[in-house]
Amino acid sequence: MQVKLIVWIIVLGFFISAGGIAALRVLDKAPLFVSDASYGTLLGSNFYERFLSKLSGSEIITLQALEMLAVFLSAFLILRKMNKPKNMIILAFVLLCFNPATMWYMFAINSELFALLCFMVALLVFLYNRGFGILLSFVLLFIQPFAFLVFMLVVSALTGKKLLMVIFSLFLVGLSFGGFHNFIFEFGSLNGISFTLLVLAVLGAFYSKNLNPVWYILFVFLVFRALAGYHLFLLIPAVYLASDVLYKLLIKKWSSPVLKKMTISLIFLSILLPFAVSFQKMVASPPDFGEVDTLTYLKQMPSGNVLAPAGYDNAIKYLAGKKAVHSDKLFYTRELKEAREALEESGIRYIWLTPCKRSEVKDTLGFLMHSNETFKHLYSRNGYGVWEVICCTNSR
Amino acid sequence: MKKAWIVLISIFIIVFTLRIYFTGSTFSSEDAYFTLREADYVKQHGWVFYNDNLSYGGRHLYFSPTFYLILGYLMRILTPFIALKVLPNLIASSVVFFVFSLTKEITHNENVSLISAFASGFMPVYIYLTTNTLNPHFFIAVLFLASMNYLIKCAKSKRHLLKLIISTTLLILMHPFSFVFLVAVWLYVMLMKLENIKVKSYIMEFIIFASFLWYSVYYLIFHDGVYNLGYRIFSMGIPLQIYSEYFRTFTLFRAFTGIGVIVVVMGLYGAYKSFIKEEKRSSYLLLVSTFIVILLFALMRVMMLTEALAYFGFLLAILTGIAFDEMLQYAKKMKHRRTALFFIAVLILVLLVTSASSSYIEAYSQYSNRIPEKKVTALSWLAGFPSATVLGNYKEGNLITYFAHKKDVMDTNFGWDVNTAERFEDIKKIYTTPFQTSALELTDKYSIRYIIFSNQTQEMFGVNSLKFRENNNCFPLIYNKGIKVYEVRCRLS
Repeated sequence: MQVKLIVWIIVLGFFISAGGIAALRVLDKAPLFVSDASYGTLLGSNFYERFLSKLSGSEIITLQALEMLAVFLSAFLILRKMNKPKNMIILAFVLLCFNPATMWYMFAINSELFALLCFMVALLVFLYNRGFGILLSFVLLFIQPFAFLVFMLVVSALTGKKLLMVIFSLFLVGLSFGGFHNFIFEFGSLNGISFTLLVLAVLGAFYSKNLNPVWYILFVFLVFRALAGYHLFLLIPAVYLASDVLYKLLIKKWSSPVLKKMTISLIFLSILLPFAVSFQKMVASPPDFGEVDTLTYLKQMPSGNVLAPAGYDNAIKYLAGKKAVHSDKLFYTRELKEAREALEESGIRYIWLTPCKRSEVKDTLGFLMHSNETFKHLYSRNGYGVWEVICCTNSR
Repeated sequence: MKKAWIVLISIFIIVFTLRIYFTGSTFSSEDAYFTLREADYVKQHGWVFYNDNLSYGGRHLYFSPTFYLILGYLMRILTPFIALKVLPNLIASSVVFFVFSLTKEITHNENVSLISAFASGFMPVYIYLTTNTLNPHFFIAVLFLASMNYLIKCAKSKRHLLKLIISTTLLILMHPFSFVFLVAVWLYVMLMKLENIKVKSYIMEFIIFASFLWYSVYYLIFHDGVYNLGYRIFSMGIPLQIYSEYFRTFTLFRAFTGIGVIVVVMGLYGAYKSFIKEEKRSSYLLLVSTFIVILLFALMRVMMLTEALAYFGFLLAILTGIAFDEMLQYAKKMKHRRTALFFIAVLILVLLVTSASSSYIEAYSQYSNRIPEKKVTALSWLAGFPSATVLGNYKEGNLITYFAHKKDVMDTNFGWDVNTAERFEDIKKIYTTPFQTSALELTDKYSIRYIIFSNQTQEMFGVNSLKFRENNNCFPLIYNKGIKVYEVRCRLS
């Protein structure tokens, strides 16, 4: 069978899975996109993010699906241009498509995907015509300076401009220490690149004989960058290196054919498992209809800070137009006097609780909210609830 | 049958007899009762339970089911005494065969291998860890040593590859602790490369297979836990208060005597000798990488010090064999050969006597520290009451869930999801506070209905009675036969 056909069958598999997630979320009456970070993008500052904020959720997902398709097409053309064996191209597509990070970036509103597309297109053009490629890469500067630096690093590696490479490397190191977040937390659990893929990529980096040393440096930078939360850019070199090593594993003659078959099956199992798990989690991810509805209700209320669980700051800012405040002291207090003082101190006028937080605080703040007149229940939907604090009006 | 095998089987029988002699009607470890709950469930339903409604008032557990499945299915076909007492001790005693085989593989000397086997079988810390405790390490240690044994054999011949695959697969399925073995093996490969020693291609293939097997198995089991708790899922979540107490009572002297002073000294000498001898370097690197990894994991609090000590002990027992082999070879070349051999014989005799006597004392102490019958009776009496939460100290948690079938506030199944440090402090406060309102606030918090007051609690918190009991109507004494049980009849709210 032709390699092109197999690749498109794999891509089709990816889009059928994406369609499954979309359908299940619609059946659950949840918005198509996932994660609080999506609202963060809609509140963003660069031109692409401002453009996204003018579109509806479904329009953004459609746009992102098209961008993803274009990324796949660019990846295919780049691999073909590099004269990679057809089986390696097929493996690269299996790794690229059946990966939690790929699926996540399609359903989380973000500018990363567009930056990646620009990066891939610029790289592809560069392989054909260097001047046009570099020119195109300047678009990245306006969307994501990091992507531009990665691109320039690749370019300097390919052209052998060592001084340029060092300069860009230093820039990247500076950017990479922007802020670490729990990388292991994300290992293929929801939106992280699966551990198997990373291990294969590291093996690939060590075993690739014809690899320019700069690729190693690039890979290390991207790992650092992934530590700061940008998984998508790491995905591309990781897929490249992992498919290379997986291809070598497949064609290599093992001492024990049975062991080889078992190992290869385990590798594919460990590639597909995180994808299956993230599929299931993405269907059930917030936001859901109750969240959107209660926060939209809160938008029409007069201004004031909102006491809310952590992780909903962007949603509260975007949907309710108010500032979120978190306070464990308030959530777990049993003293009304103490609660009133803390509420007054933080300028909190509204309390917004998720179903999970409601059950967590039912014996503390939840108990106080039900048993006295300091708190007025305003609105509830699907377990989400909004209360107004009416004690401290004078001080406000 | 060869003479060495007769001696080895005799060692095995003596170790087994010692272990079986000191098994009581109750277990010496509270953890054993969690194992029993799981095994009983497997016996009835054919699979383990992950949602435990009783532990910590109800929680989700993350563990590998293999050990409990094996025990549960054994309980289906065998009597409880054979399944829970005889078979675990038989398996635990079989470490002597693997240590013998490992040492023989390195030294090619059956006599010194017998000494190593004896030292491992009679290692006090291993006896403490696995006698009358139903601790899964009786199984894990055997599989761990078997895997090491076959790996060293595989370095010479491919013949043992299948055995290596089987023993490692079982080890991986048994417990996440198998990660220690895998990391040690990767480290071994790296050290071999550094030493310019060629690693056989089929060994590399086996390591890749085992690594992906471990990842696939534990991704399936822990993926939710990793998502919810991050890397902390692999840590034990032991509250700092308990951990510091553990360190306070743990001394270097205890570590030395736990393994055996002669075994430690001779083991270190053996390590030195293996390091400088070119032909033993390959096997030695596996021992040294295992040592480093276990030390690292113990320091990271991923494994308990007692467990780490037992595995150090096995490694040192093997190295002791190497040391004696070296000494014997050296003595044969000496001018005063007879004196040297006499000295070695005395050293061996001291090792045998000290190991045997220390392990006898350890086994006896385990037997004496078994769960008292009066506690079992009190908790079984509580089983007749309707569903409720029972407060005991954290060591009594698994007994409450097993014998009383009631929810506990805390037990030894620590984890990051249940805020163990806070619970430990709250339990301590209930037992030590002189104020009834403070006690009621906490009994309300955990919906506690009964409070158990035992000698163990008295010793743990340094109290003679529940000081806050001003009013007997709120906390009436409902059971007083060696163990006191109080009922909580008041609520603060």
